[in-house]
This record gives sequence, structure tokens and C-alpha cells, in this order.
Amino acid sequence: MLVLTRKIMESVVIGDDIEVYILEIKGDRVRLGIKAPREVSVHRKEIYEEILRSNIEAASASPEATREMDRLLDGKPPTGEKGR
Amino acid sequence: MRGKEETREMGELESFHSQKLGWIRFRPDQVIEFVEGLLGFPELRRYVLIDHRKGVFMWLQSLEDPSIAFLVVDPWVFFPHYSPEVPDEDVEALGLEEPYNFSLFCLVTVPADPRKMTVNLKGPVVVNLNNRRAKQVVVSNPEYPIRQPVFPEGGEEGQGEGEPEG
Repeated sequence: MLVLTRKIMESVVIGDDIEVYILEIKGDRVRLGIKAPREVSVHRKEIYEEILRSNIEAASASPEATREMDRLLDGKPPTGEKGR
Repeated sequence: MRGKEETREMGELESFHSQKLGWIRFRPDQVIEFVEGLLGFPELRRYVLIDHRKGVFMWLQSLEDPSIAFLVVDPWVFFPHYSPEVPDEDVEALGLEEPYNFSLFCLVTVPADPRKMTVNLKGPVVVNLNNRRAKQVVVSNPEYPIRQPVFPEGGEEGQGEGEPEG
């Protein structure tokens, strides 16, 4: 990891066209401004990682789970249980 | 022996063999082009939406990897007050201009117990219907979860129950 020290209103350039500014420092919080081309997404890392994990789970839905979902939405009892 | 990835043109319709859905057919103008891949699937860009039975769910089927298909849903069916705020950068990336002509859907996660199924309200997919460009966006609203349960505790489907505030 490259470690740099910046003061307020200074910036860091990443690649050719991404720039990160330090806008404000308050206690333990840093306010960042990020200039990037529109096709580059910028997210808080935790959100990005959680959506990524959720996407991977969504792609892994098993045929059995999908069938059970259909039964549930049809108002049928889950496979293996007697009707109510 | 034909490989699973082969597509055949049949006049107007193309065919594709999906591992989950079997042979599917679609018109070329139904293909969706992601400007960026779904998070976690950066190289997959071309998809098509296929109905799941005759209901509100659809499959977002990759046309580049036959094993990849996502169950998706129109979020307003379960969450009528859903009002996602799409960031300006994503509106631009999709080439969306007034009058907006777009469709929006959310990825669904179905675990082994379908009563625990969730919808990703934080990261919906937006499709610009004018140019077929799509993107999974991260909405600005802080209150929408990535895993919003469809059913409230108890497993009964309720109208508007389990809906997030805002």
C-alpha cells in the first residue's frame, strides 16, 4: 500500500484520471472528494463488498430453492411438510 | 456435439442454452448491455431477461456464461413505496435523458428456506430502454438494505409488511 500524508485541500492522483481530495478533517472523520470519469464507480468499500457478496449468492440460487419459493408463492406447503 | 455456448440465429430469434433455464429464445433487440458488469461479475456484459413462470419474477441470464443467471423482481410488487435515488453519474453513464425511458429491477437471493428470501434494494439494476444499456447502481438513499426480507417474521406474505421506512 502506498502511504502519503496530505493536508486539507491537497489531493492524490490515481492513474490518469482519478483524483482524491481531502476536503475536511473533523475529529476521526475525513471528508473526501473524488473526481473520476463517469464510467468508474466509487463506493464506500463495505457497501461494495456486501453487494458483491449478495450478487454471488443471488447467482447461486439452487433449483430446489427456486422450486420451494414457487411453492411458497403459490400458497403450497413446503416440500416435506403436510398441508395445513 | 454442439457446445453449450453456441448461439444459433433462427430468423429474427436467437437461441442460447442456459444451464438453469435450458434453451431460451430472444430477439437481438432484447439483449441488455451492461456498461459495467454486475459487482462480482465484471467481465459479463450481455444479458437477456427471461420470464420466470407467469409471475413477477424474471431471470437475468448471461449470454456469455451459460451457468450465470440471477433471479430478479420488480421491487414495487413487494415494496410499493420504494423510491430509489439513482446517482447522477449513473444516469449519465446510462445515457439517460428526459423523457426517461427506463426499467428497474432488483436481484433476489433465495436461500434454502424461501421464507428468508431477500431483495437487494440498495443495488438495483437500471436499464435505459432507449439504448439497452444497463448498470447495477448503488442508490444514494441510506435506508435501503442490500438484503431486504420479502416476508416479515413468521413467513406470511403481507402487503407492505416488512417494508423499509422511506
